Amino acid sequence: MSTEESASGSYFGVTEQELELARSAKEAFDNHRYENCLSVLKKLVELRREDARVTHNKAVAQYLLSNLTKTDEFRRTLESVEAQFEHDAKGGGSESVSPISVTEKGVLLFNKALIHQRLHQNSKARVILEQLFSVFEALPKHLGVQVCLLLTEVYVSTYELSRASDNIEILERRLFGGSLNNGGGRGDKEGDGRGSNDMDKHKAQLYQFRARLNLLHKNIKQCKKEVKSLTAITGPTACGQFLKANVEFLRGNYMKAFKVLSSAPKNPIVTDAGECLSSFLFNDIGCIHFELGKYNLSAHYFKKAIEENDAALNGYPPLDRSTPLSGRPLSMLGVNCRHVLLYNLGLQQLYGGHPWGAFESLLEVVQVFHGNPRLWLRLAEACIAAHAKSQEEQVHQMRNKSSTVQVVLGSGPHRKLIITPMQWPAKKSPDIQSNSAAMPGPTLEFASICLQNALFLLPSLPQSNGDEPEDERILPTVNALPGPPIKGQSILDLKSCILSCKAYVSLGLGDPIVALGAAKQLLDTPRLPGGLRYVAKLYLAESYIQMGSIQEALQHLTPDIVTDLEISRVPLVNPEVERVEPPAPRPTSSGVTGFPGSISDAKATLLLNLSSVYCMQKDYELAKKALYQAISILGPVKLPRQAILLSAYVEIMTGNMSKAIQVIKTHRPLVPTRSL
Amino acid sequence: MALSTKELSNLLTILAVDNVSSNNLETIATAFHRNFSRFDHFRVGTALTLLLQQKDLLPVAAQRIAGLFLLYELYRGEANGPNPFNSFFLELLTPSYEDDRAVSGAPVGHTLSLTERNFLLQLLTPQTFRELLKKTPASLCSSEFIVSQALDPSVIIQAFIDSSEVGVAKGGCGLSTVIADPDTSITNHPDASIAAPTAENLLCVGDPWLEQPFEPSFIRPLPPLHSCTDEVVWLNPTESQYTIQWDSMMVVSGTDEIKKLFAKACQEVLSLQEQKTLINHLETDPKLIHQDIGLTPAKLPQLVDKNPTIAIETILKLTTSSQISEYFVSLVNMEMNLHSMEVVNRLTQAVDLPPEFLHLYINNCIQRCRDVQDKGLQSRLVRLVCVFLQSLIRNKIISVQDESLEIQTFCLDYSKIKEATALYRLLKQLDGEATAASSGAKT
Repeated sequence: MSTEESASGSYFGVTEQELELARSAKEAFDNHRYENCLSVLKKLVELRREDARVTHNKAVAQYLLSNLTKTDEFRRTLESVEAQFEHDAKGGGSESVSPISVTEKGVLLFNKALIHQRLHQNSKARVILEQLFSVFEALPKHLGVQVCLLLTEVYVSTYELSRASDNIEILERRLFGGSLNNGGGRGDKEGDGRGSNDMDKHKAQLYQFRARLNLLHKNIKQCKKEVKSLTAITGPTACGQFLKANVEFLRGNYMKAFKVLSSAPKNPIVTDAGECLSSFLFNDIGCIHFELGKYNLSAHYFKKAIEENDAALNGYPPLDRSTPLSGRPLSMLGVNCRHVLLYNLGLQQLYGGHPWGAFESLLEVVQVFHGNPRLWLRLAEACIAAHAKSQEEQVHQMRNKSSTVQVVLGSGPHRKLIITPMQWPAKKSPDIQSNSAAMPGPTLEFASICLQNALFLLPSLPQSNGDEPEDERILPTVNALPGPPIKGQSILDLKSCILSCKAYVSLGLGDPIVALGAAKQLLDTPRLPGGLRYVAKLYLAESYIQMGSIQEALQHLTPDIVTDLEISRVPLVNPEVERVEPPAPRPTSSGVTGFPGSISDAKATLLLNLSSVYCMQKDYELAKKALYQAISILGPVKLPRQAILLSAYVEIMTGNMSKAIQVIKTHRPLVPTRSL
Repeated sequence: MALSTKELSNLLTILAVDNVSSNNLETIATAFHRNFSRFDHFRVGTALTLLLQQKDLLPVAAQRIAGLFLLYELYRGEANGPNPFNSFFLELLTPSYEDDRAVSGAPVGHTLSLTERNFLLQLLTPQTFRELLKKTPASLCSSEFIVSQALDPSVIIQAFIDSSEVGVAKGGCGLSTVIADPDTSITNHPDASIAAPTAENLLCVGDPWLEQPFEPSFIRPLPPLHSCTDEVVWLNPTESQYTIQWDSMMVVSGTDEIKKLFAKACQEVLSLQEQKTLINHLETDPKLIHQDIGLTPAKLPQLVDKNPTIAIETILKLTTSSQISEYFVSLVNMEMNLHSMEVVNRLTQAVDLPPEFLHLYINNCIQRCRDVQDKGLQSRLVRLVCVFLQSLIRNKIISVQDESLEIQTFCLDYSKIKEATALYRLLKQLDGEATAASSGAKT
């Protein structure tokens, strides 16, 4: 077989003509004259039909000539060339052990990995690159460096921080014979023909990696240094400016971050790496407004970011299904970060009180990042908020303006008031269109599924009392793409929130047993934040009521369940970072039906519930007492309709029908004067 | 759940004042059953409860008596379990307080007049039920009808509870959302022209709110939104410039082939011809080793195993490299065998090896001999080590003073082996010479 000959038989089987052709092809390639290069390669192919490397380079030249638009074809050729390499390796007599063949086809594998990386197929790229990295030393130096850089890129973008920093060290040793900072000057001493230009590029790349790593570690000072070193080499590039703005953003210097971003270069529209700069810009401005608590504004910016993202893609013809990777340059194939932007948008809509919008956005996101438990929780939160809001809207849409009287019927002696009941039944609220069961909707039923998924994705946490800081290291991490993984105490926080939602949803679905279980599990969490403990106690009590155990419920409705309204164990501000401004207040929906906005709201809600429970026990004296306490806390102005209705109810049950009607009509509960 | 207008008017006709004053209950029941089928019963029953609660809609006591009767009649003798309105009866009979005068301005539907109450008690008592059927509602309202003293209300109620399987505690706190709010400014008297449309509005529109109970409810605050850092994703462009790579190993003169050959050398024993080619190339192009040939410290042991001659050449070329110590470490730690000893031996002759390296290597050899379990293999290894050491000593590569104690112990351990004894003798002899020399120097 001729392959065998070329592989092992003849060391001097290369003719002068072939060598000359190869040289001129390389020269043409280096000078970007791909057409020339290709015509030379065609001649070379005639002479060496079985040479896998020639076939490979021909494919490379063709691909570059097509302006990287024929990715499908290039990939297919790479596959067949790879098969040829495998065949040669076997034909050559040695067992097809991977080290040799990996080294042999190193360039080919790198090209494959690069395409994966550009298409955001990071795990596929990672497998190939790690294979190459294992024979790092055996690879030609230039290729080895490229492999190492690309692998680092993959590690950084998938938040494999320790691996990334190991790689950076290796690169520093390999490129600069030591640390980048100390031995930087020795860069080109090896004089391998590549100019200091290349060295600068590598240096800039390493500084960029280190800056990004430090950002993820929240190591602000160090990051600042790295960005400075970076811009010292490259000048003010988009990359440098965005990183600088990110540092200011993390420091809480929002105005400065905004200024830096505004000065960042906006060209090219799409970088070679497939990044749409204007989309990134709007996204980051959106992030700033999110931190400032301006959710409608931030939502506006994220929408703009999505528009830019889509606009960048619209210049190209639609992709053909059979060749999904053709027709657009490689960089344009990976430009789409719609789902990341949508995640951000959904978050704003959720915080900004637009749960239906949030639901739509997050539902699209979850199809891509379905391994992120926090995203499932957000989706459930959107369902819960949408459900609660639709109930509130039912009250607002009432024919009568009063929040207590639904309608007045008849007249004269036959006049009837129909009052709005305090609570809707557990069944589906009537205004939600009855979609098919296969279509997820913003309902409590779907929320329950989301929460199930979220819990399923959490690792089982070790049983600990959770107050030792070193526990952080023992606790596992949870994937939260597109964001960095969730670690340590934050997992506990996440789990607590999932459980509280689960209890809420189960109560709404009329499933007190599940609700009771979730509430109990939540209360067993070590160092449960006060806000969560409060809702957990109320859910627990309501579960008991739904199950008919009023006495049990009463035991949990004690004033001491209101301590504080913290909802997170982890301080939201990194203590190492000195914040310039206080962190933006997180939104709280006030009133008794939302999560309480203040301690006094929380106390009032508790007392109203206590009053209701006494009514259920037909102990109207105690009910009145609790009710009056609640009213004296809330004051006469912001009384919720539950308080008014409860007051009317108590009057009816104690035989004061006319007083009850007065309460309903005037929206003023009857309160003994001394208690106000 | 709503009634049609026709159904309502039928029902109201049956309950009309003329009708209830002239017909006895049995006739009323017959008329009712003529108009409504069994499937309508629950809806009609629900409507009746509302009419009974809103007394102005059935203003005459006889009407209400008939209404109570019909509600009972609906499910009398029903095989499918008790009357669903039993709990309603029970509620009527156990008011929170009793006030005969309270018709309007009192808790809706929760009180009955004494007459009504007496009637209901008898209705629920199987013994008295038969008698009632023959009477007209109007006559039942007249003053002569008084409940017999023998009947104790509490006994009847208890009997009713027992027979009808109504839980006492269950529910019990729900009120109707319909509340009478009579406007007495115009007139205090019921007006049929208003009452009829009001009843129709209440019962025929099917307003979902009417089916909800008005009861104290538990406020369920929303769970707080999860709060965390690092969720909103900030995007940084990387502007990274990786490019599709050209395979520069395509059709290259010898180098490419040499590299292949070198890689092969790490995997298998090369033919003499191949060895010669490789060594020639290394001679002519010494740079090759430093750059792209693909040798790493980790690979060195393989090369030593398969092709010691090439390994020696390679290491000799590497002695100027900064990585040489890593290669030495790799060599020291590899499994000791003839090839590795050969390589080390050749190296000692060609270059000055660091003494600590040699020391380590010797210790490694000795340790390896001790660790081997197989006796045959052990004696072979010991022989090898002894010859190797003799050669080192004779060539004055190692100083006897530094190593002698360990080597002597080693020789004594394996004194049965000829080479070990020879080595021991050599050591002793050198020792003697050394002491002689030193004593000579002293004198």
